[in-house]
Amino acid sequence: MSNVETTDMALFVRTSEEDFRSWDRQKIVDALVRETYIDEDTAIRISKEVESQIIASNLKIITAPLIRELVDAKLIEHGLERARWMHTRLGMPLYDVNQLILHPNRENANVPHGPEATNLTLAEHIKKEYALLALFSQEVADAHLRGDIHIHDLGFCDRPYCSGQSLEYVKKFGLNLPNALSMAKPAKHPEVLLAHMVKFAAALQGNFAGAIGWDAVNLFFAPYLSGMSDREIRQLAQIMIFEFSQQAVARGGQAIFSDINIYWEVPSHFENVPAIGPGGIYTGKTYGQYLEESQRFARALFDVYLEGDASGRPFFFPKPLVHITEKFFKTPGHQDFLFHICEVAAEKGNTYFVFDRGDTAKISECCRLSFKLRAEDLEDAKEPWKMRYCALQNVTLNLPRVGYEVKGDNCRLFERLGDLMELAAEAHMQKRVFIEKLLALGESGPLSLLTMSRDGEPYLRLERASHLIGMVGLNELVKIQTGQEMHESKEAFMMGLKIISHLKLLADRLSSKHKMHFVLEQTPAESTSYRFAKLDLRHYGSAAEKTVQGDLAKGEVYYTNSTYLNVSAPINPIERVRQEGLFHPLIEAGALTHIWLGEARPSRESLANFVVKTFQKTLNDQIAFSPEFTTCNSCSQTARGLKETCPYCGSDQVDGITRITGYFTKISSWNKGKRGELRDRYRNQIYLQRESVGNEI
Amino acid sequence: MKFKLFWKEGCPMCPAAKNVIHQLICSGYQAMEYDLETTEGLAEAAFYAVLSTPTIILLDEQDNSIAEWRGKVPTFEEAQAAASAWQTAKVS
Repeated sequence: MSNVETTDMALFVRTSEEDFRSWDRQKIVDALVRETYIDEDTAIRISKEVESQIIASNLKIITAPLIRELVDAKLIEHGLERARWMHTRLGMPLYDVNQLILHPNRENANVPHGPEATNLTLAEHIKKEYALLALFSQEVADAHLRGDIHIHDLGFCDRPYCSGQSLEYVKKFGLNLPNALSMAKPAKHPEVLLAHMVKFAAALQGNFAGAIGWDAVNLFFAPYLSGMSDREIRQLAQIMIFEFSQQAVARGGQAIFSDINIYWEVPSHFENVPAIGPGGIYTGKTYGQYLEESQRFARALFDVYLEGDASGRPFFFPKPLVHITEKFFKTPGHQDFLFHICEVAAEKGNTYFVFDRGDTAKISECCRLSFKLRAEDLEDAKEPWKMRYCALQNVTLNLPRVGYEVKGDNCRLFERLGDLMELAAEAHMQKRVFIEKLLALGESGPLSLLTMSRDGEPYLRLERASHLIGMVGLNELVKIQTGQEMHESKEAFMMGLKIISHLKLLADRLSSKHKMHFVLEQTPAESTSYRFAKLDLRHYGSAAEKTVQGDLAKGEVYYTNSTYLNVSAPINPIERVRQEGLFHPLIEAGALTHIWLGEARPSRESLANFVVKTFQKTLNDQIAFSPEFTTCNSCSQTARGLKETCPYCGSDQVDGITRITGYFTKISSWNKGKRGELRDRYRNQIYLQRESVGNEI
Repeated sequence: MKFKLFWKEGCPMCPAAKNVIHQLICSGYQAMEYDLETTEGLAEAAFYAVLSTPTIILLDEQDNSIAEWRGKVPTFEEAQAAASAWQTAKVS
């Protein structure tokens, strides 16, 4: 048989170009020479060996991927590992694709199950493989695969991570996007401006992996609202919220992860800025003169949030982030507005309270990410369309693993943390080189939208980009090192502060060394804390079994996220806000404390008191109150609390809704780790029902 | 009872704050200094919510704050007076 030439046989190849071709050994040679460094003689030898193997197998039809695998096996036999790596094929087994098409993906609760979502997951899978093989060095890729670090959104490796936008860009330049089928001039009417905003957000979603946040939305809409009745403004607010919350038709069927920053006052840095109005024309007034319209719109937005959707459910997006500042309390009507947004927080949970103390100003978005405005950013505020920011990537450190490795040795602990920070910086630098390469292709490249320069500089201002370094499981690392969790003793808490202080100083040093902006962030860690816990159970056995949180028997395991205290610890919420807040000044790129309401429905006055005390007496960066809901898929009604059956119609076709990390979703879409955490969350409902919450500080 | 000073390299008022602390030490008071460029110093500063330098905090035996000077420097006499007032109040 080995003497038979395949050309004499009826052997056909199913190619990836959807056709059958006759066997041609030369194609193996061509591919090896084109894709790897090996010489032609070696390529011919390997092709002949593969051909003999195929002849011996008596196949009538063979697939191109199988031929490639046989070639790869031969390359390994010949010790040509580097060539094998270069010649490798990316893709998924048939079984996995079948599973994917049939079953939902639980890695991101914001991805629904459907053909678009399957497309997204398949594409993400290949890009993830690509990133780990070709974008990152083997050292970085292996560290990710082992679970020492987690590089977020590898499936979106060819785009930046999250972004903060200014509506002024759309107001001034209209919707004029590269490769678009039509171009729109600056909007003349508020509804058109809203349409431009939503479409631009959808376009940006195709160019960023994560959230699209908008700064001072109510203020920048204000010049379009002059002369409108309350009813008309309310209608506009309703359209905005429904447009963003029902945008589950874009990338992979995913709603745009959208945030709107809202101010009751006119922020000082916008007070004297000339306002852009209809048609992109300056109105002749400054934004300081649009306080009334801005406040009316802010109030209307929260009227809509309070009502919820058609079945009374909270809107998942856009997330409203209200900035609480010194000026907020000096602005007329703040008390009523505070009550209003607190009522929304108690009823629906939507409100995020972002605390900007002293001279701090920031744009907040994503689950808790914030871009703190530096002196040069505040200078840009004079031309607000320049105020667009991005975080290029997020790399999270597996802190408990460091504990398993150093086994209580503090000297080694800090040394090992230094190694991990270096590794995270390396991952960022490699991603940055890759993104710079894509951006260099300009408007004909894949990131054309980010290179458009309507105001004379590229849309993506890479020189202002931040590079996020997150952490998971500080609480568990402290437990390994001291024998206690952070809430259990001052010594344990101080150890937590020491570790984060060390990381903060390392981030500053790395920034100086590499001339890049490395900053700590509380990673949302929707799936990372579950992934790390699972990997550590596999690699560190009993040590990890004693450390991970959740239900081992059910596999619902997780690490406490970032710098949080144990979610099940019975700590009153104001003390939790105070203690967790002590970490926040060390975490420049955003931190948040959750207050799990459960079924509690505190009064708006109580929550307002809580918010004011948090602002005045703590260093906490941001808080959010999270109620729980049950929505019925049979009668479409929504009830308070998590129930097994619908309290209205008795149906068991119900879904729970609450915050997974920094946003609301249906619990049925959560991964097992998050379900374990949900079970453990301490709600402290009795405390929250009191009228004097927060007075203890 | 002890004084804690939080300082940073390049902070214009920090040398004056250090002088006050050294005088307090010479007068028999217990005092510690924390450099915010070190892990220990930054962690301690985070615990006491120190956001500006120099900061001097006077603490009782249970580490409760008795007096604080945040972003400003007390005179030796002011710091000593705060300590004396607390001791007097404690005795009475």
